Amino acid sequence: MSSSRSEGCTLTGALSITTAVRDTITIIHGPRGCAHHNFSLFHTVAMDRGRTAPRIFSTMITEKDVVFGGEEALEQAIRRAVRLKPEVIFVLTSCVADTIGDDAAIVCREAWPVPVMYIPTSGFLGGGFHNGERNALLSLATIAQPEERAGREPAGVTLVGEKNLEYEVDQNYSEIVRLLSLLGEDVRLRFVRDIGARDIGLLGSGSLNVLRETGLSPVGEALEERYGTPFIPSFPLGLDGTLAFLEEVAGVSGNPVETALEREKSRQRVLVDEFKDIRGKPVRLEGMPEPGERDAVNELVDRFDLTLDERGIRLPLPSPFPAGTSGVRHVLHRWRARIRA
Amino acid sequence: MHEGENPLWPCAMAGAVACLSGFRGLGVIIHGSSGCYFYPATILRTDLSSTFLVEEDVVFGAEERIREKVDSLSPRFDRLAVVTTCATALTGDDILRITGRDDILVVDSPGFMGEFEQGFSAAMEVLPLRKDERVAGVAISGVSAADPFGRGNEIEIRRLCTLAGIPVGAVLCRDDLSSLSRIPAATIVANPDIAGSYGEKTGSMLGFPAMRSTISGLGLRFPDADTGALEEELREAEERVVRACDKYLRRYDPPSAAVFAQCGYAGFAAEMLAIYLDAGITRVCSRNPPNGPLQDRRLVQVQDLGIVEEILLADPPDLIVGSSFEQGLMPDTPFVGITPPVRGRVRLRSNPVAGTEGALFFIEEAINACIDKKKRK
Repeated sequence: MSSSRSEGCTLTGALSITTAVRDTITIIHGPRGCAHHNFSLFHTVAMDRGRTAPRIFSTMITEKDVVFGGEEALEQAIRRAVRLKPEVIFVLTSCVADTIGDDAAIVCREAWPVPVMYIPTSGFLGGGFHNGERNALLSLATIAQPEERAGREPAGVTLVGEKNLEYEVDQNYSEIVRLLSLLGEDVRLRFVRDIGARDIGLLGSGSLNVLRETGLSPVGEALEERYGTPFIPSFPLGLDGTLAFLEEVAGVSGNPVETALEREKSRQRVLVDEFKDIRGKPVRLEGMPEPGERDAVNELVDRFDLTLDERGIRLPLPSPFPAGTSGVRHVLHRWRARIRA
Repeated sequence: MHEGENPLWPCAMAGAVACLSGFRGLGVIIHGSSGCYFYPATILRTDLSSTFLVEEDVVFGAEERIREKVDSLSPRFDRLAVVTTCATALTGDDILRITGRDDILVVDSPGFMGEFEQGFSAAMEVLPLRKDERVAGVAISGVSAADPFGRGNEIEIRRLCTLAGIPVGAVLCRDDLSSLSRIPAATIVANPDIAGSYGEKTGSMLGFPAMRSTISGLGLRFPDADTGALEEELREAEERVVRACDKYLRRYDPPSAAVFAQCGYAGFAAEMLAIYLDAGITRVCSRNPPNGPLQDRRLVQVQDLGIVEEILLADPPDLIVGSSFEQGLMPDTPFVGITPPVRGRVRLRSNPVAGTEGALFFIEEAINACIDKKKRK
């Protein structure tokens, strides 16, 4: 089955971005159930991290709206949201709204006292999770104006498209911060994770965009075209990938890379030595890594001389693969625990 | 003002799937996209299938997807069921015509039709339930994998039936598909909101007052049953609850409590707290439309967390009974989880809320939550 069939709804993808902007409200133009199913997921993630669940409004489309149209329901929902004085209101549409032919974009363009931003989703009719995620990032990028950068030297790194639903999202962030610090660089903006709507104005002022995964390249290209900011297409995956990442960042920033590389290689040598007891084990890898992740997995199989065997010890393939050398350490701990169990 | 903010309850499609997926041997196909599939798949953690539609299937027709899925699943299951979602209810695929099979159960329960219970009920209507007067004993109704207490309730009611010598002939909806063709006429209800309309109900097992009445009904229905053993068990359990609550009240004031759950569970919790702990019940809010004897109380349907927040801020209770949605609004307030989702803690056991053990569990949780808070002070 193609991944587009199984990757989930555009709504979930878009919400994973919009709900990461504080002081905003996201409206789903659709039945209550659509909003509940998504809110339930975001609530679970928030509870797990000790955070507050986001505000997701539903236009509560019913059978009556299906027959007579649901644009009035959307207007009412926007009015309710406006009263809470958010910085921005994001409007997403479900497959029902699309099927009955509601024009949500026109409703959003009415004169509202707070910015109301329509983000193309249309439930599964607009694609899958990644389409929703990309469309939300591209829409949010329009909040920052190119002229905001004018006259200032670009500085700092922007992380683009962190996976807010990913279990290890904050561990990956810490790893990127650590790697960048080896080169004297810092993260100026997380686009988008736990930021205020006004922070998006910083989007054009960074010297480098680092995308979470290669699938976000259209976003990286759009931002490069809009602000002239170069981008690295993925967080570093695997040991060699981490060293290559350092070289790429140094290539953009012009900072010397030798010391950083040596320190990271030393760290990796210690890591490989620490897990030498798994060397040569017969294993069966289970899961479907994305193409970029496959290289990182194969690298570990080679480094530790693991024998691929249908009757071997079942090891889970981490997907998404965690970032950097620290990510590899987590993978190896998980694998060793399975091997020992 | 907060209507529509963070809706609290799943849709009819999820309810229909929850009902059907409880039967071993029945393959359930969600006719829709992966987005609609993932929610029930996540909460039910069972073997579900989907046609996993994408846009082109809506444009060019999904008939081939349906046929493929039915053909691939047929060898694995005794029978198949197809549940429609919002988009496919609107496009109106005729499943029986497309597949040429009249044995497939089709449930038309798009999300915009209503809530979980409506879908659950619609699915029960299409199940081939056959009453068999020759089958001794009772059927347990109102059991679902979507209910965090579903399995615990089943185990507890089976235990009580065994104590009384009453066989359990079927469990709706957690049984083999074949059990549906020989269901006892009488039912005992675990969760009244998903009990359906099947059979002759002897009553609910939620809380001591309801149990007392149900045991009496079982005595009339099954003259040979040892309902005396149930009465004795009930008396002992009630005595333990009375003693524990009395001890609490010697030291502390009774709590004020706000209750949020499906109608039946909400009524059970409010009644137990009011009777045994002398609790002041600030609000009883039902996820689904209120029904039954609680209609004359201050019971209202509340569908959105935004409204719940208004209620809690207007009259902050000492104890919240509900889900982790409510808990998240007032994390420092003592909390008992009786309705999904109950997140933020590991739960491996099958706890009941029905039966004597269910009542004991609930009161134990409520008292401990209140005492823990007092100790923290």
